[in-house]
Parts: sequence; C-alpha cells; structure tokens
Amino acid sequence: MDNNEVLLKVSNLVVHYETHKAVVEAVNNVSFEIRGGETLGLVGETGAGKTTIALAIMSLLPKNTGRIVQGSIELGGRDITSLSAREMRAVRGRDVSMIFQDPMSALNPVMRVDAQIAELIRLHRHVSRLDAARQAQEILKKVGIQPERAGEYPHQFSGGMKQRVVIAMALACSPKLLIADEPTTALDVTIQAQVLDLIRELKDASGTSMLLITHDLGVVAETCDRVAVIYAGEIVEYGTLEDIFDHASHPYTKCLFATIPSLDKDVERLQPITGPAVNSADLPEGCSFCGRCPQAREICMTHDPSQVEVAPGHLVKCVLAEEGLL
Amino acid sequence: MHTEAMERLNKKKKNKSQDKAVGVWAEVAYRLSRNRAAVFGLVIILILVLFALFPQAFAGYGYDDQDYSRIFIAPCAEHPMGTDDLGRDIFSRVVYGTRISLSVGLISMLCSLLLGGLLGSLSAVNGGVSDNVIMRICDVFMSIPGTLLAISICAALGTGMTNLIIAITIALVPSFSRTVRAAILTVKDQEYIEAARAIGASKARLILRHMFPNALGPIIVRATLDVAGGITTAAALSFIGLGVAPPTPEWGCMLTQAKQYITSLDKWYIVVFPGVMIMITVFALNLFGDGLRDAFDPRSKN
Repeated sequence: MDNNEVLLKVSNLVVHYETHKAVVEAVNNVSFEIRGGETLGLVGETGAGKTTIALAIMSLLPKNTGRIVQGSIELGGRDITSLSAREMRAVRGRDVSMIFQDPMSALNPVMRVDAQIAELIRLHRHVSRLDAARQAQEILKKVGIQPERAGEYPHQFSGGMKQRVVIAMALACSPKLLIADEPTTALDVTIQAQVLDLIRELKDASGTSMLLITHDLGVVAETCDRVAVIYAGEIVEYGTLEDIFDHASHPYTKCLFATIPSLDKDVERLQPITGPAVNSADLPEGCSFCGRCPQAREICMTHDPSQVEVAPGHLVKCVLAEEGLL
Repeated sequence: MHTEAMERLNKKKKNKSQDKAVGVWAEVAYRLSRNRAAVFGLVIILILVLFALFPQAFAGYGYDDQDYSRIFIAPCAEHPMGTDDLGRDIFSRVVYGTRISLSVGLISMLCSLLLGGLLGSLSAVNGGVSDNVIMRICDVFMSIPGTLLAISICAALGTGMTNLIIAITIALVPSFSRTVRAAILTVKDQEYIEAARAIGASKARLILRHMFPNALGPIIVRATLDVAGGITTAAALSFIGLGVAPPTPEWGCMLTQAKQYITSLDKWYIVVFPGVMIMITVFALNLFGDGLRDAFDPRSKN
C-alpha cells in the first residue's frame, strides 16, 4: 500500500444551499487530505455539514439547490469537481463509493440483492452477466451472507444483514475511497461493532481509504487514523487520533468529550453543550462557536480566527490558538 | 430425534432452495397463479384472445352473412345468441367483434403507456420547467372530458380503426402521464435511488431499472383499466357512428344497430349480448390487472 501518497485532497471547499429564501452556508472553506489506506473521521453534530461534504465528493448534491461555490476536490491528482456527468458516473462506484446511513432504505426493494451487486459490477467492469453474478456471490460471501440467501429480496433480510449487503455493494469494485456516512447509526449496538469490524477488515484487505462520518466518538477511536472535528461547516480541529483524543485543544472538541459519560464515575446528568447549534443560514461575524463557547471573550464576537498549527499536523481554529495560549 | 414436523420443515427448506433458481418472471407467474381471481380473469382474456385470433373456428357463420328468412330468432341451439334484424348470427358477430374491440383497447393502451410513461417520467425526474410545461398541457387536455375529446378527434380525422386508436390514445395519455408522474415522484427521492446514483447508474438506468419497477403497481392497474376504458370508449364512438363503420362487427357498433329494438322486450338478445361482452371483457381485465400488480411486488410474497 502506498501509504504516503495523498489520495483525496479537498482544498478550500465551500458549498452553499441556495433557496429563494436564504443561502445556507453548509460548508465553509474546508480542507483536508486522506492518504492511501488511511481512515479520516469527520466528527460533528447534526447539521454541521458532514454529509454535505460527502455528497460534494460524490457530486451528488441536490442539483437545484446545492452548489460548490469554491474549492477543489482532487482524487488521485485529478480534480473531480470539473468532470462531466458521464465521467463522474464512471468514478462513482468504481473509485469512490458510499455506504449510506440507513440500510433499510438504501437497497432497491424490488431487486434481488445479488442482482443489485451484479448491476454495479457490470456498470464498471466489462464482464459477462454470469461472471458478474459469480463475483456478486463471492463478495456477498465475504461479508458473511450465505450463497443460498444471495437471491433474496431486501425485505427478507434483517437490518444488520442489509447493512452487510450495502457494504458488499460499496466494496464490490474495490474503490480507492470509501465514504461511510454514519454506517452504524441505524443499527443496534450489538450489530454496530460487528459492522464496524467488517468494514475495517475489508477495507484493510483491499487497501481502501475511508472517510468515516459519525457523531460517535467511540466509533472514531476504534476506527480512525486522523480526525477532523467540524462545526458549522468549518473544521475547527484537525489532527491525528492521538492529537484529538489526548490533546484536544479547541473548546468545542473539549465540550464534545465532556458530553461523554464516563464508566467509572457515577454521573446523574450528562454534560450538554449549552445553547442551540448555530444556524448555517445566518452565521455570526466572528467565530461561529462563540455563542456556546465556555471560553468565549469579547474578541471572539468580531474576529474569525484562522487555523493555527499547534503541533505538527495538529490544526486548531481558535483565538486562543492564535494567541499561543494553548 | 426425528418427528413428522421436522420432516415437513426439511421439505419446506428443500423447496425453498429450489425456487432460488427460478427467474424473476417465473416468480411473478407463480405468484399470479396463486391468485384465483387473477387466474379467472386471465382465462377469460385468453378465451377472448382465441376469439380474436381464430374467429372462423368459433363462429358458425360469417360476420356479414345475411339470411332474410331467419331474422329475429331467439337464442337456440343453432344460434346461441339469436339473430339480428338482417338475419345475421349474433354469436358469430360477437366473436368477430372481439378482434376489433381487443386490438383497439390493447393498442391504444400500449400507445398511451409508451407516450404517457415517457412524458410522466420526464416530468417527474426533471422537475422544474419541463414538469410544469408537460403537466399544464396535460391539464388542458384533461379539462375536456375524455370521451368528448375522443369524439372531436374522431370527427376531425374521420372514421376507421386507425383513427379510432389515435383518438383513444390521445384521450388516455394525459391522465396516464399524471399517474406515472405521481408514481415516480413517490419513489424518486427514496434513498435507494440516491444509492443507485452513487454506484454510477445513468439517468436512463435510474428511471428504467430503479424507479419504474418500484412505481409499477399504480401503473399496471392504470394500464389494465385503460384497456377497459379504451374498449368502452371505442364502443361509445362506434355507438354514435364515429368509430368503425358497419358492417364491421364492433361491439359498440352492434349496440348502435340494436338501439332501435331496445324497447321491444322480446328482442332483448340483440342488445344484451354485445353489452354483456363489453362488461365481461372489462371485468376480466380489471381482475387480471389487480392480480398482476400484486404479483409484481416481491414484498407481497405470501
């Protein structure tokens, strides 16, 4: 595996959703890299813009409203934002594939599961119908679905098995990049661990890189090499797993960790982050987290800080970092 | 331990693994065969199709064989449905009429399925301006009652079977596009469509392989109802003299000729049999259509 080669490079990405009423600044100036075989975790609360980033990479933004305003997305050195619809279709499913949040609704209910996987294989590889069917069976076996059940319809599977099928589908063409959009959110806890293990195992075996979108820090700790903490469409903190978990610097990241109940302490109430998440249609002039930040000061209201490298590879976007106070 | 129940379970398992090999169509056929009402409808349709294909084999007389010595004979062994005012055998005419009624109904349904399906899916998938334009044009057509529209088109084009089919198709297309559009809109934003887009499927594939099959239920029901609607519209047009011209034995046309005897109770057979044929055909098509909708949905399996 060419571990040091940059596979995906997102630079200064800005995505807006434009409706006749308002412009929602969903993603603001986001940059990150994923190297070959590496997993990047994208962590943030609901509405922070995590899924929008994923959709922008797949170029599946809702076509009437979503728009990449600025920035580039390079996959293996090629800017995919400028590709034509036809070229992009060849990329999707072959180079980049996606695991959707809800396996219950991500499979076509009137197609047998092996046919759905075979369809994907035939879209990207020149193989006969028979070969595609055989390859579909094989990949299904890899995710633990017996051949006798491969010809069944999605409604005949349980949620965990459907997610296995979705994973099989995402990895059928050995993509370079796998985007997993909260792959375990819709599953119950016992299945979550199994599914995560399965994803990790298969992606390691094929050397696939992964962008894991989640709001579950436990999942991040288990799976990721690097973490980007995202708030209101901006990366507020970016670093390796150790940087984020052992040296969390941004107040938001600290708040996130504070919300997790600890096993050895007997806590009556959880520690929420006070206040509502900021409205992306109406971002404040200064730091977007200042309204909820326990360490906010006067300057935070008016000054939007830039990212500062507090340690090699560890970026923090906070006034405190700018002033060298971290 | 080996019980009877276990044996039954094993057998069931075996059967289950056997139908793995069956194709999707075979499965649809199997599910259809389990639905008695649909099979009943299908049998009637098949009989009608046989009538339409080989009328000579069933009819004892030609459709325009006149015999003035044998007018107004009530149903008997030789003339199962009696004879009309010109001494023609009504049963033979009904059998020959099947060909015209069925083909008018089926062809106009297929044409409107093609046209309406295309317009409806374009409008649902593209949305925006094209949706608005297509749907507003449909609104214009739908503001005119279907039969009236068909009458005016027929009047403008003249009589004859082709014109009849054109008229009926145009009358059916707007509401058909509506149905297809509504059906596709309900599945269009489902996550599996997004997922199909995410594996690199083209627009045509998205529509044909993923949206259409999932939206099939209402479309099939609509299509079978439209065959029935086509047949009745054709009958209505022939009834007022705009459809096929006599002596061609179209059922509606036969009703027209029988209308002067509608008040004479002793000649009931002239009016009743063509009317009953229309009713039976429509009924059979509806039964079959309902069954087909259920059979196409794998979720309705047992």
